[in-house]
Parts: sequence; C-alpha cells; structure tokens
Amino acid sequence: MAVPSFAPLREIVRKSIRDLLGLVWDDTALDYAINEAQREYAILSGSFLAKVNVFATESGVFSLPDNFLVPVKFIDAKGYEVRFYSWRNIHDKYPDFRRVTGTELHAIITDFDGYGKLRLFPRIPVSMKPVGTLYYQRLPKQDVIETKNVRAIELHSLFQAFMIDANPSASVYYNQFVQAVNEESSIQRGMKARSSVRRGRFF
Amino acid sequence: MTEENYLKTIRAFLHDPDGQVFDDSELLTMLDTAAKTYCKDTALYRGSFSFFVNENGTGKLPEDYIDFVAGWNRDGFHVEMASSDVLNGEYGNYLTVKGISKYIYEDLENIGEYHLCPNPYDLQNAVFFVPQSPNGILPFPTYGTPITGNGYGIPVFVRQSEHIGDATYVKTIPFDRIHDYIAVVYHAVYQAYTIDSDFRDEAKARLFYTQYRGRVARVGNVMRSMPKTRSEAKFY
Repeated sequence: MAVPSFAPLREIVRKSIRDLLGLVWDDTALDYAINEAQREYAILSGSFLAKVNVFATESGVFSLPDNFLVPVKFIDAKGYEVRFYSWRNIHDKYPDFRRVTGTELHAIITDFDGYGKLRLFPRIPVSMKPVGTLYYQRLPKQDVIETKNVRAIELHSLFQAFMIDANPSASVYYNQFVQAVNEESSIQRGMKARSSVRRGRFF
Repeated sequence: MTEENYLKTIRAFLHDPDGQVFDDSELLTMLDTAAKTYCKDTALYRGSFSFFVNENGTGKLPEDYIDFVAGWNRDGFHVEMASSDVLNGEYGNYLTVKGISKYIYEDLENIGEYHLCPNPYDLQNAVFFVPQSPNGILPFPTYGTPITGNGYGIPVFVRQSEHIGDATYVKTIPFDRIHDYIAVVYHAVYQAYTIDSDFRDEAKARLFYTQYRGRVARVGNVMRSMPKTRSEAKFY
C-alpha cells in the first residue's frame, strides 16, 4: 500500500524520471526507492541523532538499538563526557581489558565486540540506574520523511532508477546526491559533533 | 531484509522477475557469497571462542571464522599471531614447547585449525564424561561443555577443562542479518553479471562492484580500527 505522506515526493521523482502517469514505477516501487534514499541520506549525512540510556552489564557489553549507525558522544550520569577509545589503545595498556573492574567509567569502546555493541571500560557493577547516555547517529524511520532535503532524496531515487537499468548515468546521479548532502550539512560535518576529534576552525 | 525481499530486489536489478535466467538457489548461493565477502571486507561482526587444544596443541577454529582480532592466555596476557620463523627464533623446536601459550599460528596443512605455542594441553586437565543429570540439564555453568547430544538436544557427553585462554575473531553472519543489505544485493548482482554465460556483462558488473566498494569503504567511519586482513597478517 502506498505511503500517503510520500505523495508529494513521489510526484517530484516521477517528474524527474518522466513517468508522470506511473506507467513504469508504481507507488510501491517509488516508496521503496524513497525509503532507501532516506536511509542512504541518513548514513551519509549523519543528520539524524538519537540517544539511549546505557546500563552496566555483567560482561561490560551493552547492545545498542537497531537504528544505531555511528556513536557521537557519551555523557555519564554525572554529566561529564566519557571519551571513545579504540580497543587497541586500551589493549596496549591493559593486556586483558575485558577483565578490568572498577567503580568509575573511564572509556567507551565501540570497535571491539562487533557492530551495534558498546563496551564499558572498566566493567562497573550492574545497577538499575543508567551509567550514562549515548548520543548516536541513527537510521531514519520507515515510511516517514524526516529530512527537508528533498533534492537529495530525488537524486538518490534517480540513481536507483538508473541502477535498475545498470545504466552508467547512475554514478552521475550518485555524485550529485553526495553533493546535495554535503551542501546541506557541511557545517555540521565540519564540526563532526565528535568531541574526541578536534578539527575545524572552532579550535 | 528477509530472504524473500532479497530475491525480489535482486531479480529487479537483473530484470529476471520470473527466474528465467537465475533460479532461487543460484541467487541464494550468490547472496551467501556476498554476505561472506561483506563480513570479510568490513570486519564488522565479531565473535569469541575459548581455546581448547589436543595433545599437539591444535584446536579447531569456529565455522564462521574469518580473521583473528585478539587473543588472551589463561593469565589474561596477549596471545599474539606469529609465523614459524618467529617461533623458531624464540624456542628452537617450537612444536615441543609446553606451558602457558604466548603465540597462535595457523596450521598450513589443515586450514581451519590453529596451534598454540607453548602448548597448553597439560594445563587444560581435560576430562570427558557422561553427565550425571537425568534430565540432561547441566547443574551449573562450569560443569562442562556439551560435546554431543541425543536427538532431543540433551547432552550425553560432556567436556570439562581448565580455562587456557580465549580469542575474539571476525565472523560471518547470514545475509538476512546484515544491516547494509543493499551492499549485499549489489555484490550478488555483480556476481550474476560476471558468471560465464550469455548474461555476462562486464560493464554492468563493474558498475555494481563500484557501488559495493563505496558502501564498504564507508564502514571505515564506524569501525575505526580494522584488523589486518588475512593476507597482511603475520601468520605466514
């Protein structure tokens, strides 16, 4: 069934692919393309943020929600930021960092236990209270338009249409899509919203 | 994405909605290959296993093993990957050295197996027995590891051993659990266009492969410290 809120976007895309009557692309196919476009937009732009309360576990590993993409910032229960570290850094200082226990959180590791898993270092006692909040880039909701960057969605839908035909023009539209995303989010991308990486003219 | 949706999407890209060119089993094989390639290229998915070796210091790698990430011996110190040259230099005849393991290396003659050096076999104190539990439920977690079970999944043979270390590794997961499903679709379509048949189209294959590579490259932002690929590793 066609998504009602996608109707204006479907019209825009139909106009671009010269299929105003919907003879080639029915509503369902276009809705799929629009959802995919927005998903790709979210991955590339990192514009959609969400937060989740993180709890200590026996193993020290916490599973993140399904819409998790990239970690942005971790704020502990006292309101202080806890930095992200690669497991390799911790590994050098603490041979078996998985067994180290303590009462205070020193680091967050997101690149060791697999995608969508977050490890607290050191392992702290399990409690009903959250140890902090993780802010992260997320995937968009299905069948809901969350971005105002309609141009990017349109260009990615065109890219998909040409990919279906395996037409080399697909690459052209993909590059334009990337450009449209960058134009919109260049400031945010420059700041990167990552406190652990100092970059840009702000510092 | 479900298996059904995967097939539908790939058939749309291949313009083969009714399976005139490719049947489902062929496409599913391509999807399996694509998923394995994606897992290997991105190193996103991780698993862990405990070391358990035979008298020769040899153990089996898990079925879904792709690459080594890190290992620890029973005292919590690193178990490093090493080539036979390194081991020769340190121990001389490294095959006969026994003790707490410091190195791990692959068995070149038996792919899918690993060796620990020094060989910690004696430290394992392994015993095998039939569980003393009438309903098949092991009384507590440290009781042992089920080796075989009967038809109902009840363990009938159990292994009990001391912990000699463990490792974390890069693993494969089934295609329906991969979050970037379009990358898997692109790789499967690329494979379809490279099969040696009338359907072969190198230009199209290249287009899809380029898109696949682009998506894999993006993963670098997520998992910042990628493990070395097998060809770059110190195994050999």
